[in-house]
Amino acid sequence: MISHPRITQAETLQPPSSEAVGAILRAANAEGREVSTSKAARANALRLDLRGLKAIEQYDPGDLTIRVQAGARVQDVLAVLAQHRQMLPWDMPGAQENGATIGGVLASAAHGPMRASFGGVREYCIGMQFATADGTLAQSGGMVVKNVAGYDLMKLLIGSRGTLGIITSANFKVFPLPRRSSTFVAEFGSSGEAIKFAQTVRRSALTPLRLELASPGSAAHIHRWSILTTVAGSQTIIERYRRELSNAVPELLELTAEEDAAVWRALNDVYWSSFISDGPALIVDVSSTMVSTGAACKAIQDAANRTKSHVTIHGRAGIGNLIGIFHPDCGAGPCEILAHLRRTMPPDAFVHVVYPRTAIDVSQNIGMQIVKRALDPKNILNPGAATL
Amino acid sequence: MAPARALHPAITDLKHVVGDDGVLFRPEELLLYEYDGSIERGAPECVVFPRTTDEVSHIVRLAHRHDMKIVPRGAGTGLSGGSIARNGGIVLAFARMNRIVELDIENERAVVQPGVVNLDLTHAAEKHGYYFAPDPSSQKACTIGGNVAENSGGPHTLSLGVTVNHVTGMTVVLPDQVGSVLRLGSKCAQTPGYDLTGFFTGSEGTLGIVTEIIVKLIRLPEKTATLLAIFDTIESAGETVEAITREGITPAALEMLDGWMLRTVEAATHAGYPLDSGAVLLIELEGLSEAVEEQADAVARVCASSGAREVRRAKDEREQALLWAGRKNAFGAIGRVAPSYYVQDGVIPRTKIAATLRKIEAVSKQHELVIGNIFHAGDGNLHPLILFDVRDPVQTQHAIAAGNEILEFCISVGGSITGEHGVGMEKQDLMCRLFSTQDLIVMRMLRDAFNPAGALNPNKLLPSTKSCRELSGIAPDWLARAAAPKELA
Repeated sequence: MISHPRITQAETLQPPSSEAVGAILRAANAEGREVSTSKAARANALRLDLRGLKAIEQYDPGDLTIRVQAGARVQDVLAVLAQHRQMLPWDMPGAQENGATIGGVLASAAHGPMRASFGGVREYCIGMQFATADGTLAQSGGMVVKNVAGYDLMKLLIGSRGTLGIITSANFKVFPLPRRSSTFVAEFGSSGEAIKFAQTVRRSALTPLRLELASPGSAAHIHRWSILTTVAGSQTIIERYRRELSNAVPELLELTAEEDAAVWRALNDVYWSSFISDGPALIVDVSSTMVSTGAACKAIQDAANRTKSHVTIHGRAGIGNLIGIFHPDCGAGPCEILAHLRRTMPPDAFVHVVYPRTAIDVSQNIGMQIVKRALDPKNILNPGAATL
Repeated sequence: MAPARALHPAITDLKHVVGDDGVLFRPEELLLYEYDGSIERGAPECVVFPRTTDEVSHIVRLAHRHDMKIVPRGAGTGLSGGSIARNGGIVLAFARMNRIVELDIENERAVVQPGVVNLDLTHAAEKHGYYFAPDPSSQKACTIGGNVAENSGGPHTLSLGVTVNHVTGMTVVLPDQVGSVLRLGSKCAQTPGYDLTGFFTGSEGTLGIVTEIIVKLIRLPEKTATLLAIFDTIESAGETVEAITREGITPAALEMLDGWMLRTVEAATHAGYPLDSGAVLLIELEGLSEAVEEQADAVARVCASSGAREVRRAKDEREQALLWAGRKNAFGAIGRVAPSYYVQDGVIPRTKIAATLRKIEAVSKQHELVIGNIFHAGDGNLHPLILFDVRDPVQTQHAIAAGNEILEFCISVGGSITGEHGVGMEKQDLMCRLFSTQDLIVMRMLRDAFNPAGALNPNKLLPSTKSCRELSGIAPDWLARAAAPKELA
């Protein structure tokens, strides 16, 4: 039996179980106390550190499904899956080396280059256990790969940044680990040419694992605007990719296994290290239609030029997703850069500010308001992360 | 001559919105709208055919004024009673909102009205080298609005996902006093904010009325191979599915028919299924030519080592189409051999296929009922067809019990009660067996937040009674009603 903890002052709690998470939320909700799982929790908020919830609760390699607690580290889960030659497409920044947790990936809908072929985490999260603001422990979905029983609450919680509930564990469909893969680098004189190439590949019969844009200097071997194409399969299949990609560009570089690992690590490091050094001026995650991706990339470049900023750009150019990292070595602040960005961004593109942290704008959408009021009527869950 | 029925005062108001030809209200006109693809029934007071989102919003306002319920309806092919007006009111039929608004090939998107027939979108996109991936067996008739409501699947969703994986945006009319219009998502792969597009998909018309949908279009594969693996026993076919999954091969589709089922289908469609076999697997592989050839070899190897007596490969598109015609017309073939069938939609982990098939066989023997098995084996989605005669109350009760035992078994091995047909009326009380009271409280809280007066598709999806404890042992109530003599009149 879990007793209700008395909350008297600002503190960080490490609940040992989902039941404890529920009990803490019940008590906090009764007192109208803010609760956050974010390291950037407000001063008076009660911070939940879920790293104690790190168990792999169920793993059925034969079924290609796994259930893990929210505090488990991505790198630990990937290591367990790898023992059975399985994987989750979690190559987002910080996931494999910097202690990112499953709950963090879900709450932020984090994604990496493999989103180009697997989609975001919403596409393969098949079940979820979570606590609502009043401490109710609930679940949605299940441990089977196809299931339409009940509302799909996973979709609401994924990307909600802890403002609708606290995720305590989640179930995923997992994938076979490719037996063999290879990464090719094609270089271009401009971002427009690079993006055009990525979309030509996207519209062809080829189905690469990654199709990533990288701006000049973003990693070793990336001297000009580049498209990095990771392909998986037998020698015959990789040869087909090699042939087709070579025919499309004047020069195609194939990375060695070491270079391959290093280049992806370096691209992630650009993003991650900017957090742990001086802090970037601004990081944006831009979603656009495929047709507008070139214009969206130009808008990022223009904003950097006009504010005399140094920017690194990479992203899933084939599906209209770009990341812009504006480095702090410039006079312009995030507001100024953002103002330029918003002025020149094509109308069918969305600019999501990753850093500095900005709130989810709930105020402009009555549907979002209805959901927020239903699940967190007192607005105690990570209130700084949603603008009501 | 029967006295004329008093006209509902809402009819005149509704005609002002959608025109005289946009409202049906005479009893003989309403008959066709009492049914869907299940054996549920319920008569609406009228059927209204809107043409625009504004008209839908106006109808919602009128429904509030006249205190009438609204039930959205596509083609009425659903298998769980989702579009049945069980509490009367207005059936909102989308037959006139059947326009492909935009085929945006460059962005791999289509914008469609909810009444667009699933296969019509694929036909429109095919000439550009694209298609719409969800492919329920009813795809010649079912609508994309219905697919969104039920989060429909189909054989080819094994590798590409169900409807929710293919919807990026929608326009929704909320069932509030003013019929608020909500625009969710966009053509982009991700739109900032809560993912209400994902949440509304599969909500079975209980949260809002979807009036426009943005869907992904998928590039047609370079090559397709269709294999038919033939087994002497259903157990070895089930074990083969597990072995294929274990090998890390993800076919585009992996379907199973047991011996009884394939003989019944063969008699109706002449698809070329071997009459003397215990089970067949219909396996489709798609993608790059080289990958398809390698996978076809790997699948053939796995099948052979798991006891397949033969693996045939369709030689051309005609043979592929024939094999699929057998699978997709299977439910229709049952009509030749039994007056009624009860189709289940349970899901199990793929490692439990052989054990579940043994259980179904035992249930069949115990209740002395023929149960045919046809299902999406690759994702563990079963469609056991329990044959019975609805005029025989004893047999009907056995069908009820058999269905419950199969679904109980699905739940006991970690599965679900529905993989693609939805909960609707048919399985709403079984939700208590799958979800805890707390789970259902949260779902109900969200349902009531969007649909507080139960004005939209009432008494669907969530359990109808207040306490799940009361439901222990309860049968789907449509079967009990179906067995009642008055239903046979």
